Amino acid sequence: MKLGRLKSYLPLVIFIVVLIIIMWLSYVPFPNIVKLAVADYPNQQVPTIVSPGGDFELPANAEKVWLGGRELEIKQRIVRIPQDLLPGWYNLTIQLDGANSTRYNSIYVTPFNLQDFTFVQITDMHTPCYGGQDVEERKGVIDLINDMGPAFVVDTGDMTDYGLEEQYVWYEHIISGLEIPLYTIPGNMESYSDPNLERYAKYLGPGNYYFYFGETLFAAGAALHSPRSWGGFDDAQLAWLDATLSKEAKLKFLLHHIPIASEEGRDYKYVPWGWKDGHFSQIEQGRERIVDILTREKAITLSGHWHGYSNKFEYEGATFYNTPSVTRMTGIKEGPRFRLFHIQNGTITYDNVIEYERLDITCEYRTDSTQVKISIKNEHIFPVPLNIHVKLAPSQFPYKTDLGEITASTASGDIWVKYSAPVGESEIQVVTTPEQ
Amino acid sequence: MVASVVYATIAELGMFHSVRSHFTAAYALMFTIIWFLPTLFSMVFFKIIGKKFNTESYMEANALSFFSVLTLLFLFFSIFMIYSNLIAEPRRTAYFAIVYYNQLLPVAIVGVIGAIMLIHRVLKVGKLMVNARIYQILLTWLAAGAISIYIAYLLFRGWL
Repeated sequence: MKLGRLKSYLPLVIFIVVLIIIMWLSYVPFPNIVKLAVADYPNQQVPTIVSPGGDFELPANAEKVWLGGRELEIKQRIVRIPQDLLPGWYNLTIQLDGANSTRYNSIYVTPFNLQDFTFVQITDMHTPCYGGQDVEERKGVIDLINDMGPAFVVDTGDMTDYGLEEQYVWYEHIISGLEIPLYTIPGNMESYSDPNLERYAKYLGPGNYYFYFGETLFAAGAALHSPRSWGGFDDAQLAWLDATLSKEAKLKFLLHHIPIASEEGRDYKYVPWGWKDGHFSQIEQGRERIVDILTREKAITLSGHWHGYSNKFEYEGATFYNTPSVTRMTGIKEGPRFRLFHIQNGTITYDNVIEYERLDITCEYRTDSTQVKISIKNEHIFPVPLNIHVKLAPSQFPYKTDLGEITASTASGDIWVKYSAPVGESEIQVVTTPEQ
Repeated sequence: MVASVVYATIAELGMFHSVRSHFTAAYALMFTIIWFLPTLFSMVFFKIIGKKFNTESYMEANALSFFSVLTLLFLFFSIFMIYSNLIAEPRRTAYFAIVYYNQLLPVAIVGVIGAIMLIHRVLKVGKLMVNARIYQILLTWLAAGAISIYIAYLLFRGWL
């Protein structure tokens, strides 16, 4: 074959070379995941959760602090929350180096006992560019979570379809109805149009941070390769996670998007380099080190990424949960799903996946809001622990419930009813109890 | 070849507004070389078993026979891009269409038609009579197809 006759192939060769150059130049091995600075915690994007009478830590240079307009005493960086503070959101004003700054909704006083609480993991919301039914259903899921009354929600990434501006706006619209704290980390989809996660940082803040709920530690550590569905940890992030997960806690969680270890591999399972030590991982760089850290600390990893897949995998003391998508996915028969955890004294006592279409909570208030009938329809094959938040009228008499127990109440009529919803239909009445 | 490049460029431009260049470049690469891998593997096999034929003609015949597949792929994506960007609610990009399993069906049909055309073309170029050897050739193609599908899978699932 004469070389000159290959000329007709030249455009194709040039095209392929150009494509490879574009791929090479646009590849971002490790996106810039913003780490939360100590001085910035707590803030609106990473709030702190405290109980009445509990405490939280302030930056070293904090001189004065006001919570909801009330000045509190700082003792060795620790601020104690007054016992009479009612559950809900509070603004925090801090004087740092002589300058005051107010951080809106950065403190959440929880109605939960810090040793006995529930929280929800949602993942892979894939918010589209446009509104309509897709957005309305996602809002419906958030409403159900509000009704279930967990202590907080963690979103383990892929909250947008491509990380586009309008998708973040719709996502904010969806989560705006959430009444409890939400902690987020970026997923691979956030990097598809935003390789350095600048838009993510603008809308949702840092991707690496940690917080405590009582004695339970939650470390948010995203590991991504823009714009791929495989992830990796760089040395700095591994060092940060090593130090963070070494902190003292009864129970330690790593919030992560891409599965670190699983006995399955969805449709990635035929990729030979995904398998090692008898389990599958979509982490390329730093895989051994992160597994070492997690097994050493006996930590629990919460991830998503595989949409229809629900799994719990235990490996040398570490536990890896994979939670299905909180949105409807074509090809998957179930509707939106999320995982509910119940933690009691540092132990996970409940970890079931809840299906949006199998749980319904309806509150019927009496006209004067002094009484409410809560109807629950649980079509799962297991009971669901709830801490239902109802908003009744202020009453001079205490409220009481015929089922479950009232765990917290405020003078303004906010009541939390702890109740384990059995399989089938059940009904709870909350009424005032005039003293005899 | 120029037309093939133009096709691929136009198709990929449809996605550039939302998906990063790395991603679209990888897709364009996959569609542009889709004919090459089975051609290469089968050619190597024929050379090993001692079949004499003109390499350039063989390659060109394969590329040309795959043109119909590229055209159908282009039509599929063009129609879907128009539908997903202008009509569908919610609107989605063409990329999203191909990861949705139910929408992979037209692509699979295109693939089957393309494979039949490809085998027909190879038989014609190789001046092969339909005899016992055809089974060997078909098996070769199946093996070559499987290997190239696996390589495409590794690119798609192992890299992206």
